[in-house]
Amino acid sequence: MIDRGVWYGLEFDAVLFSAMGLLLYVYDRLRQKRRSRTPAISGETIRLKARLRRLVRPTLLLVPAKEPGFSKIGGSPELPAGQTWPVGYEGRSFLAQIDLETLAPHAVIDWLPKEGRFYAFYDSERHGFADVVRILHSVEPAGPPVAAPAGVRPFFAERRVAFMVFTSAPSLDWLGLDVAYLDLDEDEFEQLEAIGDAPPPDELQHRIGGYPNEIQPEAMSLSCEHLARGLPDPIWGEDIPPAIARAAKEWRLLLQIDSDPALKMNFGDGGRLYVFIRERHARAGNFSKTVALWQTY
Amino acid sequence: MGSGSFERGGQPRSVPDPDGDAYDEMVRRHAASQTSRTASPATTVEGPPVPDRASRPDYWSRHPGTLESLAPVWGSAREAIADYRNGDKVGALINGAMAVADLTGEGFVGKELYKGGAKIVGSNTWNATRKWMGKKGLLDAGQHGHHWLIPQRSSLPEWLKNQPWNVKGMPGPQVHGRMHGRYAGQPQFNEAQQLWQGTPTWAKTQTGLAAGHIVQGVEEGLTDPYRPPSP
Repeated sequence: MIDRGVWYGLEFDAVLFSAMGLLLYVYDRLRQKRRSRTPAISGETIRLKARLRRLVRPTLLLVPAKEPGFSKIGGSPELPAGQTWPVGYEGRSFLAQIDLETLAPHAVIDWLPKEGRFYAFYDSERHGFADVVRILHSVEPAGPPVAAPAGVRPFFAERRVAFMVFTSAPSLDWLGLDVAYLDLDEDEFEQLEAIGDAPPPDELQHRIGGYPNEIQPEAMSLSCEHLARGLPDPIWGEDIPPAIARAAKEWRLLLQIDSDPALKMNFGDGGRLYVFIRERHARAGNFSKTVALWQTY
Repeated sequence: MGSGSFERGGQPRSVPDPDGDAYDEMVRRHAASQTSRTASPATTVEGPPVPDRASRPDYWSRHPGTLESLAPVWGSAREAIADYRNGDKVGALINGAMAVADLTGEGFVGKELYKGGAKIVGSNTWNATRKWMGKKGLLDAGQHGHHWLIPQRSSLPEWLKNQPWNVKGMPGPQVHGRMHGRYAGQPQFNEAQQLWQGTPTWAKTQTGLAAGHIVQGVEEGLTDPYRPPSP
């Protein structure tokens, strides 16, 4: 049985926290009222909106296919004859395979080759390294599904996918802007997020092209450039050498894979994997120098 | 056609890997740079421009920083004065009450919860919450937020799991990464390290207070004059 002294302590805590909660509620309501008197759209929002609209890019959302084709997430890879399964710390898990020819009719992502297929493999022990996801590219005919080597884990469930075209706008993270220095309220942030018709950034989404849906603040193009050059991770707000800033603009989102409970995919705590490629490498069909990032909640 | 592998604990490659050398070199340079950064003195960070000094309000009209605001009695008192001077009488009243409440341990816990505890109005998506926390100074620029108590992948509603009390600012991406697994060649934190790195100060304090209450209760129970004698 719990002693009276313990009960007194717990009751005191409960009363104190309830009173705090009530005060907080009233206080925030009053502040909200005061905020509602300010103009709905500030000059800063208008300027940022114009900037984001200029930067909008097409993106392809990977959605369940009605007529299954080659492209899929999870399952077993249909590797061409002679192609070996890439190894990893405890084996690389097969993540996805995409048929680039099926993207061609959409003709929206002009920097991707029009032929061949790419395969993505994930190593859960390589978070923080550029090769946490490795990409294989082939123009050879696809073979039958290949069973994973012994010891490879995890194994993801399979979903054949088709593609839907949306437009994607960069986030403030991508632009390297800190919210604390922007004189915007919550409604104005939401207005900025509504630019482009891609699903909201918090929704589960696997994508090709466009801009990443960051979970944590990170200027990802800069991170890619630093990783590719073997430099230390960039520090937020630090001056960026012009050469690196220029080079960072060339990185494109090749693939974004989200944690997906239906496929038994979970990267950290509901995290995401992002694979980037330099535009000139993608155009040349060179997928050997991709850089992958991982973020989680 | 591309293929690849990477070093496997010094073991020879088990498959041909024409792209492996490029990756190995990239990884080697990155690991070396991270090591030298850890060993070198702190880098000077130049953030975005701050407002002109002359245009800043005087000391008592300015709100204290996050750390100073958490100092018992002093932090709340300064907040109360700043609120009053800025015309926020309700805020002044609450912070004044908190300064008084600081005289008890629970006041400290309550204050931390109040300052970053709840997001009642507006959206409770993670994206909205982290922006709100950034605006309030609860997360620094570029700082990762970690869901320490209720994981994001849980099926609980967003308004519950994306509350600021459930988000702990991480010292850096590496620390956050190691909360969830191996990161940048470093092993995952053990349970004690995860508890230390991943628990907010107020939760640690409350755990200590709860333990204190139990000890106090047991002591009072043992010395209670009305307690019936043991058989």
